[in-house]
Amino acid sequence: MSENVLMLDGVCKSYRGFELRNVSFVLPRGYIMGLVGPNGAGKTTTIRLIMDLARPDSGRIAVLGQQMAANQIELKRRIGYVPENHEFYSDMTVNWTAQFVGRQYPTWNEARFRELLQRYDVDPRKKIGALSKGTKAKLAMALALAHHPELLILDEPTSGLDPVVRRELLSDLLEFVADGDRSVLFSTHITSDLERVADYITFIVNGRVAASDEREVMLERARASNPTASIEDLLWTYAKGGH
Amino acid sequence: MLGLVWKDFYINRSQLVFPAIVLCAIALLAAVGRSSPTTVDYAVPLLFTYSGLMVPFFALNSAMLEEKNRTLAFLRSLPMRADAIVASKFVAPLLVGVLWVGASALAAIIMQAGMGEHTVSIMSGMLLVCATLPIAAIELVVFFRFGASAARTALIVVVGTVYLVPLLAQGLVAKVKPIVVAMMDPEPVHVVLFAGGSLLLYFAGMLIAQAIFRRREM
Repeated sequence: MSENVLMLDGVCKSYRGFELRNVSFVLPRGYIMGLVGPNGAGKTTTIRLIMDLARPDSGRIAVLGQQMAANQIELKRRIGYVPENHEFYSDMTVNWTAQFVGRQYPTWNEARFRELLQRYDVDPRKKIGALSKGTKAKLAMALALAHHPELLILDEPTSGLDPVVRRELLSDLLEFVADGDRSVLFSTHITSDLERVADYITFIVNGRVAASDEREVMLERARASNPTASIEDLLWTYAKGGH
Repeated sequence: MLGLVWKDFYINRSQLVFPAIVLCAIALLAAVGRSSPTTVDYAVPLLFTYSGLMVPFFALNSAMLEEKNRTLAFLRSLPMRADAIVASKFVAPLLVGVLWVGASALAAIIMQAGMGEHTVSIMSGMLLVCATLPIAAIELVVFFRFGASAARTALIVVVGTVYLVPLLAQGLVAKVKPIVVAMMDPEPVHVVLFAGGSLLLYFAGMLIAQAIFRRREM
């Protein structure tokens, strides 16, 4: 049975100088979806709308089958979220931050968190302010994974990471969805990340969905006219207004 | 919400250390028999100054740290109610005020015991803390609407206005003076009424801030 863990239907949101128009896509349970687009295309806004950190002007968003605004606490307990900028209390240590975050999740697994910190090489005694951007990203990822979420929502999780950690993080995503019951939505502009892990891809260009489908289906379609077509080629085509 | 209140205490703990040291020093000096009318005259204005500063400054510091770290969005992404985030910002300074009143009352009692006579009105300190509650409420409402810098400006403007209005209004100074004198040694019933009114305004401010923050996009 293919149940959708995420459904956006005709979502619109306008800010001064930017407009998200009629964004629609679905993410079935058990899969990884990459949200890809150039800088300023609307990826972060879409994720903020999904997390109810911003409100759509129109359209419907369902997360794990429910409306986020009406079931915030229950849904956020089932979601692991890594924002684009990793904002924590800079004077506090990693340990303190984990305790604070862990108290919000009944399913928090301290042993799993310690294991992830060790794997990502994050010193739990260090203050957040002393961590590099990459280490903060790894901490954010560990915090998101340690409560066994059903859905991971990651905004540019690999930006700022060195290639080794990036590959490790992407393998973690594959491991995360391996049981077929958990799903990932992650935004990126690094197309090689998508080649490695994404089952579905949604292209966002200038605030609208240019295409959303299974990765292989999209590539097959593109390779009918260009046998060496890659995701980067597709992004280039959509960014230039092609179909 | 208790976790959020505790978080505010923990993060802003450095702000509470020095006033606590001052109180301990006053109490210790009095306990070892070094209290005199001169030292009491010196200590009381200091206690009053701190009483006027504790709640609004704790609230302001807490707001500024939240903005510096840009952690309101982080809190909103966690499974907690937006109303609880706002409530904790109001409850933590209130608890600081209660703790300060209790601790300074204890220091005053120790001082009085050393003197052997009643020299410090505990009630007036409490009254002063209560008077700062509506100011802190305005400051926090402004913070949730416009940010920490605006909250700091609001604090300066409100305190200045409260002080200046009687001076500007002709004849008001003479009317205000007996009130100020009465505030130095108030009746318990007046303190209760004043505290009740201040708390009411404080919690009204909290409701306004909650309504603002619920609508705010991160």
